[in-house]
Formats: sequence, C-alpha cells, structure tokens
Amino acid sequence: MSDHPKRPAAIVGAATSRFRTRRDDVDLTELLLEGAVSALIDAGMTFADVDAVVLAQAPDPLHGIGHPEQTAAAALGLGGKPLVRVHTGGATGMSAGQAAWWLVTSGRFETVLVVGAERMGDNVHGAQKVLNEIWDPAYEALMPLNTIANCSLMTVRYMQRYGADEQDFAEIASRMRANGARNENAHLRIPVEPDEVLESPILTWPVRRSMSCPRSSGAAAAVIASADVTRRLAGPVAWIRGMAACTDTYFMGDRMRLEPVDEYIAMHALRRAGEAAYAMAGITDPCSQLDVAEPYIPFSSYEPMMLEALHFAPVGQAVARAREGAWETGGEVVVCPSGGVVCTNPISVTALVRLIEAAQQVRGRADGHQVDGARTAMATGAGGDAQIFGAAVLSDNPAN
Amino acid sequence: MPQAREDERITIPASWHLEFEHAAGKAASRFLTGLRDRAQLSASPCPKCRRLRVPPRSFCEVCFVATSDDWVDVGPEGTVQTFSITYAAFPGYPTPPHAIAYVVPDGADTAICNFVRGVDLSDPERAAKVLAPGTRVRAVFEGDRKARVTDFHWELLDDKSGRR
Repeated sequence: MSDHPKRPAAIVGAATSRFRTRRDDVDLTELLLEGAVSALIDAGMTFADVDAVVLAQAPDPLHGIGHPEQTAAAALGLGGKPLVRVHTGGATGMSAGQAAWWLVTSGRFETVLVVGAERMGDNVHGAQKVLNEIWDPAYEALMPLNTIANCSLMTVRYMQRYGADEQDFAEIASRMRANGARNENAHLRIPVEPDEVLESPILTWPVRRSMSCPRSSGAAAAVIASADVTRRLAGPVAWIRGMAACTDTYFMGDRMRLEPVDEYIAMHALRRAGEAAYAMAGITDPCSQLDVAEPYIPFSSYEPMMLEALHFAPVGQAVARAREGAWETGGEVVVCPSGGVVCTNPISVTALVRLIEAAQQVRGRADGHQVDGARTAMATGAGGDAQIFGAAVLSDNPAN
Repeated sequence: MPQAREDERITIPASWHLEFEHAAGKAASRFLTGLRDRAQLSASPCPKCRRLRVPPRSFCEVCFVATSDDWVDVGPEGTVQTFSITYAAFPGYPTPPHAIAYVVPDGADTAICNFVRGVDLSDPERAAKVLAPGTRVRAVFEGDRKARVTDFHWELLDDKSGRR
C-alpha cells in the first residue's frame, strides 16, 4: 500500500461561521446549510456539482439532537447522493476531511463536500458532563476525569521534565488570544495579558480558565475536488499535499512507564501522523518549509509538547523557542494565526476549522489574520484522551 | 391579535436522562472482584511481550494475543506518574478540591488512576509539590468494598518526603 494518493486533490472552497456560544437565530439544519452554502459559494459551485457528502459530527449529546446525519440530509436535500458521518471526538473534522480526501484521491468521486455544525452552547450545563462520559466504564468512569483533567495530567509531566511553568502557558494563551482578536470568525476576540491569564480561576491545576478553549457554536464546510475539477474553477485552491492519521492506546496509564515507545507526553501518535503527512508532502524541515501551522491546541499548555511532536522544536525546547518569538509573525512558523482552538472550539468541526484555516492561508483568503506570503501550511486534529490524531499539509502548489 | 415579530426565535427545552448497566467484561470483573474479596491490585501479563498491565486487560493490544491467566498481584505501594487537582466544580463530580493520580504499582508496567486522599489541597502550588511525579503512595482499601475501582484510593507513604 502506497502512502501517496493515487491522484491529487485540493480544497477549492471553504467557509466557517462567526463562532459564538449560542446560535439561537437558527436551528441545526439552518446552521448546516449556512456552512455548506458559504463553502460552495467560495468555491464558485452549487450543490449540483457535489458528488458525495461527509458529515463531521462529534457526540450527539453535545447538542442533544439525536441522529444529526438525518438532520444533515434534511438540510442538504442530497438528491440521491451519498452521505457518511465521521466521528473521532475532537479529531472529527480532520478525520472527515481525510475521508473526503480519500473519496476523491481514490478516483471514486470528483467533488466531495465535508460539512459539520456544532451547537454546544445549547447544552445548558456545558460540555464537560458529556466529556465525562468518554472514559472506560469499569476502570475510569468513576474518576473525576474530563478533557481538562486530561490536559493537567500531561502538563504536570511536561513541567516536571522540561521546566516549563505557568507563566509560559499564560504567555502562549495571551499570544493565541491576540491572534484571535484579528480573526473575525473567532469566538473569543478580546485579548488577555499573561497576568490576566494567571489571575483567571484554576480549573484543574495548572490549567486555568484563560488557558482553555471556550464552547462554541457554528458551522464549517470545505469542498474537496480532483485536479480535473480544479482546472475549471477560477478561484485559488489549496492542494492537499499530505494527510495522515494515527491512533494510540486508549489507556493513558499504558503510556506512562514503557519509555520511550509509549511516553505519554511525547504524543507519538501525533508525531507519526505528522511525519506521514510531511513525507507525502516532501516536508523534511518543517520550520523552514512551513509558513503557517494550525495545530489543534485546546489548552495553551499543550502547545510545547504538540509542536515538539510535530518537529517544530527539539524535545523540551518549544517553550524556549516560544519565548524567542518563533511562533509569531517574523519567527519560524506562524502558529495558530486564527487564534486556534483556545479562541474557538465547536468540537464537531474544530479540526475541520484547522484544515480550513490552513487552506485559507495558502489561498490568500484569511482576511484580517492572513499571514503575508503564506504558501505552505499544516493543520492537525486531536481527539480522545490525546489518542487520535490527524495531520495535513496544504500548499498553493500541486507539486514540488 | 398580537402582531407577529419576525425576529422572534423560540427555544425548546430538552433533557437526556439515560441509565445503563455496562458489562465490565472478563478482565475488569476479575480485577474488581479481587479488589472486593482480597483487597489486592492485580495485573495481567502478556505471554509474548511480558507487559504486566494494571488495570488488567483480557488481551495485549500491542501483540494482539490473549493475556495469560497467571495474573500477578502488584502494589499496594507505587509511584506517582502524574496527577490532576480539580479546583472547579463540575456536574456529577465531588465538591472540589479533589486530586487523582496515575500510579504504577510496584511490580507493574503501567499506571492506574485513582483518588489521592489525605493531602492538603488548599494551596495548589504546595499540593502540586507534594504530589509530584515520583512521589511514593500506597493503595488503601475501603472497609465496605463493592467491586468498584473506588474500593481503594491512594495515600502518601508515611515518610514525610513522600519518597524513599
């Protein structure tokens, strides 16, 4: 089996909502339609041009509407076209994008729409009650685990090993929030200073509220098409040069002793997904070859370990590089120019938003947060207990 | 008749309340009955790679072979690998603050999660130092055991440094 796709494909249109906590102005069908129509307009297409639909949809109880694939069919009409639903937790949007990419690169379809909508704000008491239910029923469900505690478990280990501290995580959060202020689609658009981050309440030590993603509602959609279709379109496209996914064991405790193969904070599954996507795209030196990165970083303290797994910095050095400004404009790679997940987290589509943000950067359509001269970008998705990862490399150029 | 407002949007309240009885499965049932009946932590060996996993599994997901039946008692002492201290209130969880730790019981190759009790959590920085990875703890079993993972919790070893 070759890692390389049989034929090239590109993101030819993409759009997201302006994310916010609630969208009481529309229902789920109207929200899905908002995303789908906006992406098709961006591509210069209509739904008649679409051969198949991939629906990005994380757990139903996040918004409390059962069988949202039926809702999606109602929203899109479909007209006899196939729809598949993809769900890999936080990685859902990247997995859905990868499924759409496979459908096109395999030669089965010419044009595939990947779309999703999230309405987490409808969940009156927040998402954590749902995210408390992702643990093993016999061994872990009675523990006070959630995705925030999960982040603490990894951060504590990273801090002890590499000397990062709360000030570092506050500065990372502050940088992301400053980026989000420039992105009109971001949910949190008010910048915060590092001191304010450190004054925000501790959720699970050392993770504080302002280091953490919000719960966001809105839609996202992208149109992925073959090179033949691409030639007929007038607008800029983002070639998907590499895309890969990797999963790790569910059991976090299995990743804490058997080093170096299983080391929890090394995020080996993210590293492998990134390396596979880089290999397809001909990326051998990410910092010099990538202009933009939109990694899925839901809490600021994940940034160092994730960037190290993606070979942006040697192990244990991403914080020092951050202090030098390596991930800002004028540095090595602009990381999360959109503000990232720390500013916007509509779980069903968060990873799709990463893919879209990377695409819009290389298409020159990132508006207020456009990175000048961005030609090559990467994005990731992360789901489960730091377990399921996807990575993509996009370029304005179909080949090296 | 009141005039219709074009900008009015209605919201419909809803709730999901579902109850389940999950099968714990072969491995977890044996582990949990071991907690209840023997007050022992036990681990499942892989016959191929020899990984001794706690909590036990019925198969080794690396080698993809069934674990052998000659389970080994591990702990009760062990070493903290990482921890989380919750200071915010979450629905369905105990009143904060509360702490959990992943601990490799002596003799095992993997870590298992449980509450840490008896540590003063009022000062986060100080509590974080007390619970730092490397800290030695002991599994303490409850008097009234119900074949649940909460039949035990971790406590610091008497040694004041928490290490030996």
